[in-house]
Amino acid sequence: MRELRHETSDPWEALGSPDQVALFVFRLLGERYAVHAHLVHEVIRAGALTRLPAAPAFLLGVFNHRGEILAVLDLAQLLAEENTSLAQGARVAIVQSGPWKLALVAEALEGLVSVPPTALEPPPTSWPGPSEFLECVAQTKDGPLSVLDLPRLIEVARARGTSA
Amino acid sequence: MRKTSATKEPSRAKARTDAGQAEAIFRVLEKLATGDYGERIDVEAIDSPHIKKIATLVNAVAEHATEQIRTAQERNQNLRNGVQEALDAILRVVNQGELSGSTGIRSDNPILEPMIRGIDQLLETLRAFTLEMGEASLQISASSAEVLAAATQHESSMTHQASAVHETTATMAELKSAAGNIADNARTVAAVAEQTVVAARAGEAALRSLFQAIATISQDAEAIHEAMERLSRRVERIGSVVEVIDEIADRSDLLALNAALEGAKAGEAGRGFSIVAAEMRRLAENVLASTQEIKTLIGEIREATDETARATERNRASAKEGEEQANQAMQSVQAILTGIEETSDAARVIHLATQQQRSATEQVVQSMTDLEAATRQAQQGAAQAAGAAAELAKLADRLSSLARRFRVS
Amino acid sequence: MIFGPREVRANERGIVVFDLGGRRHAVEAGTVERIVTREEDGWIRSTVLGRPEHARRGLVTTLDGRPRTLAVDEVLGVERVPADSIAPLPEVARLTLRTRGIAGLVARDDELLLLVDLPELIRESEEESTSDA
Repeated sequence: MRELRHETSDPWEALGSPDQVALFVFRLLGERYAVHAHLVHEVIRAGALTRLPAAPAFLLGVFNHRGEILAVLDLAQLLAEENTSLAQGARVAIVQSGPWKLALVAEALEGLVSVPPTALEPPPTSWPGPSEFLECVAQTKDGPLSVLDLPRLIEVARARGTSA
Repeated sequence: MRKTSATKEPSRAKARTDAGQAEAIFRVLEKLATGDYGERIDVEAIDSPHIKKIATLVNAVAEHATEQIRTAQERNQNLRNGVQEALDAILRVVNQGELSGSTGIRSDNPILEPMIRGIDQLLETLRAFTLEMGEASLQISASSAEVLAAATQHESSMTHQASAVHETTATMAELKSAAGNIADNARTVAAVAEQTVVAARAGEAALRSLFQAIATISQDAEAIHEAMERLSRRVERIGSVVEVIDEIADRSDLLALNAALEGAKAGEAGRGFSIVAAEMRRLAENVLASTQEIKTLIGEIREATDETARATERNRASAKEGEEQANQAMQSVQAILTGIEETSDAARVIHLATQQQRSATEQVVQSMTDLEAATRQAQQGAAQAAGAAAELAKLADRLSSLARRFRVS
Repeated sequence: MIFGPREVRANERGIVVFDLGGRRHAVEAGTVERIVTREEDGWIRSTVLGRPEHARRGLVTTLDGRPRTLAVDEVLGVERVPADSIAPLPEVARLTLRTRGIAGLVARDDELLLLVDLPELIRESEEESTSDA
C-alpha cells in the first residue's frame, strides 16, 4: 500500500489552500501523471467487474459502487492503447467530470500532491508522450507531472466509442 | 757318362834292344798283371816284327783291358748313378711325397734295370694307392657328411616325432581322462535323468491340480461374468427409466417456466399464477434433482460394474490364458518326460559307449606310449648314428689330410 | 426499455434469468414469448453475447411478426425483481458499446446481470449475418 505523498504535510490543508494546486498523482506508462484532485471522488479497491460485450478496449467493464453502476476505464488504453492488467482488488480512482462519473485504472495510484501555481507550465510542443490530453506540466521536486485534461479525455473516449 | 780317366799317357819306353824291348814288354805285362793298365808299349820302337806283334798284342790287351775297365767302370758308375737316382726318388717320395712321376731312370743294366723297374712299379703302386686313398677319403667324407646330416635330420625329426608322439600321448591321456569324465557324467546324467523323471511326474501331478484350479476359476469367472451382465442390463433398464422421469421433469420445468412467464407478463394479476408456477417449478426441480442424483448413482454403479466386468473379463481372459498356458505346460512336461526317458536311455547308452570308448582310448593311449618309447629309442639310435657319422667324418678328414701329403699330379 | 436509476417503482419487474456463454444474463419477461427446449431449426447461436456451450433452452421472441429463438445454455427461472434493481448502462458504456443488445444491468445476488434487449440483439445478429453473407 503506497503512502500518500505530498509537498505539504497535511493533504487536506493542501486542498483547502487557494495558493496551492492539488493534484492526484498516478503512475501510467512508466511516467507520472496527475489529474486535478477536486475531480477525484475517492480511491477504492475494485470489486467484481462485469465485463461488457462489444466494448472498446479502454472500457474494462462496469461495477456496482454502493448502488451506483460505474464504468471502469483503462487510462493506458486511452492514452497509448496499451493494456493495464487489472488484478482483483486493485485500486481504482473514482472521478467526476461534469455529468460523467467513472472509475479510472492506472498502473499505480500514488496520491495527492500540492504544487504552487507557478509550478504549472504549459505542455511543451514536443512532448514525447500523448499530448492530446495534457492540460499542463507540473514541476515537483520528484520530477515533472503530466496533468491530464479529464473532460477532454472523456470526450475523446466517447468519440472513440461512437466512431468504432 | 762320366768318364773317369784313370789312364795316363802310356810312357813310351824306347826299346834299345830286343832284350830291352822284351824288358819293356815284360814291364807292361807286369803292370798289367798288377792291374795297372796305363802303360803302353811303344810299338814303333820295336824292330822285331815278332815282338812288335807281341807288343801290339800287349798294347791291345792293355787297351782292351783298359777299355774293359773303363766300360766296367762306366757301367759301374751308371749303376751307381742309377741306384743313387732310384734312392733319391725313393727319398723324394719318402721325404716330400713326390709321386707324380716315375724315377725317370733308364738302364740296360740287367741288374739295375729290374731294380729300377721295380722301383717304378712301387712308385706307381704308391701313387695309385694314394689316389685311391684320396678318393676314398673324399667319398667317405662326403658320405659321412651325408650320414651326419641325415642323422641330424633324423634326430630332429625323431625329436619332432618324439614330441608329437608325446603331445598325442598327452592329448590321448586327456582324452582318456575326458572319456572318463564323460563316463562319469553319463552316469550322473543317468542318475539326474532318473531324478528328473521323478520330479517331472510330481510336476505333472501338480500341473493337473493347477489345471483343475484354473478350470474352477474359469467357471467361477464365467459365472461372475454372467452375473455382471445381468446387473449391467438391470442398471441399463433403471437408467432408461430415469431418463423417462428426467424427461417428464424437464417438461414440467418448462411448463412451469412458461407459466411463470405468463404470470410475469400479466403483472399483478398474474401474481397468483406466478406463485403456482413457481411451486410447480420447484417440484420439477426437486424431481430433476432426484433424477440427477439417481443418474449420478447409476453412473457410479455403471462405473463399478464396468470395472468389475473388465476385471472379470480380465480374470476370464487370464483364466483362459492360464488354462492355455497350463495346457502348454502339460504338453511341455510330457515332452520333457518323454525326452527324459529317452535321455535316460541315451544316457545309459552313452555310459556304455563311453565305457567302451574308455577302453578303446586306453588302448590307444597304450599304443601311443609304446610308440613314444620306440620313438625315443629311435631318437637315441639316431643320436648314436649321428655320433658315429661324426666320428667317421673325423677319420675321413685325417685320411684326407694324409693323402694330401702325396703329390699325385 | 430503459429504466432510470432514480425512478421509484413500487412494483417489480419480471425477468427471465439465463446463462449464455459463461455469463449470466437477464431479459425482460415481456419480450419472451415462450421458453422452449430441444432445438428445432433456426435457433440463433451467434450474438454479441457469445455462443452457447450446450444450448439446452431457447428463448422465443417475436421480431417483425416472426418468432425467433435465441439459444441459451440454461434458463434459471422467471423472477420478479424490484424495479430499482434494474439500471441503465453508464453513459460512457452506453455510448461506446458497439451493440444495441444490452439494455442495462440488473443487480441480483451481489451480481450485475446484463439486461438483454432481446429483439435488438436478434435483429443485430441478423444484420450481422446478412452483412457477412
